[in-house]
Amino acid sequence: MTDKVEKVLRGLPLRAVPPSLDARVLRVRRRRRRARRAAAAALAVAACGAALAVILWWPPRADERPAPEPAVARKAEPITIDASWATVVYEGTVPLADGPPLRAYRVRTVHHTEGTDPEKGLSWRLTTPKEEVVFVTADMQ
Amino acid sequence: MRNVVEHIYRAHRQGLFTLALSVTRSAERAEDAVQTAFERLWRRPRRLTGDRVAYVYRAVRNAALDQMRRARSRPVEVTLGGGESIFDGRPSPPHRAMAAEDEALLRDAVEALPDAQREVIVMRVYGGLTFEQVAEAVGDPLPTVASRYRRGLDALRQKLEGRR
Repeated sequence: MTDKVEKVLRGLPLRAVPPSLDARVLRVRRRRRRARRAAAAALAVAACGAALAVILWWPPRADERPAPEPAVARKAEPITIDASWATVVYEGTVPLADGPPLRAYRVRTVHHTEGTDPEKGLSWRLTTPKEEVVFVTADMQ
Repeated sequence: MRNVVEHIYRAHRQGLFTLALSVTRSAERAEDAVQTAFERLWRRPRRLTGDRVAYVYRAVRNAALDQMRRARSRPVEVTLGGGESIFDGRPSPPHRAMAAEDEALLRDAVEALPDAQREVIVMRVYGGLTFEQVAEAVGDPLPTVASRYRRGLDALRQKLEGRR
């Protein structure tokens, strides 16, 4: 019987929804949607204006800024240091039978080179001693 | 989310209006209640949590109860007597098995039910809500709602049987 009553209830015609209700409810929806769109449009216009102002008046202007250096990886080059030291010692006069005497000078030279190659991870140090005797004619002085 | 609200309105407009009318007993106030509820829903659609349909019914019911509270605070506007019915006064099509007198008796019996029972019947029968949804909409436990529904139908059945 309960089911029957329920079935009968379902069959009873209800008071219809007034057409004005749809208009009222959906009008609110449309009004809110329009307001939201208007707010979004206003926001977009304001954002465009702000962006334009920045482009036009913000110092320095974009085209005046120094161009950034190209991001090229610098090659690591070897570094070399050269140094030379020399000492000169007078060692006396050498008489010659057929000409003027010669003055003898012993010249000691040390050439030093050291360097690093960061790319290869190498470092070196080279010291080259050199010794020679230089004869200078006495007349040259 | 707003589209969900609109979809629920279009799918349940009859049930929602009937519920509001059942609470307020006034078509005008029922319209106001439904409109107010949807204004709130569209203003804050993220509040539409849980069962959305039940939430919308709850919103409309609350708005209708607000309408009634406001009306009671203005004594001039209080409707005395039964107020407007949720049913269409016109007789049903003639092919119906039920006699017109029985229909009228049933309509009156529904209107005479306690508010809580009538609301549950309206939501269940005319809104197509499940008992869980009805319970969520009225904020009462499921057994309470089911019991209310059963008692309401029993009362209607007794009215019909007493007529015969």
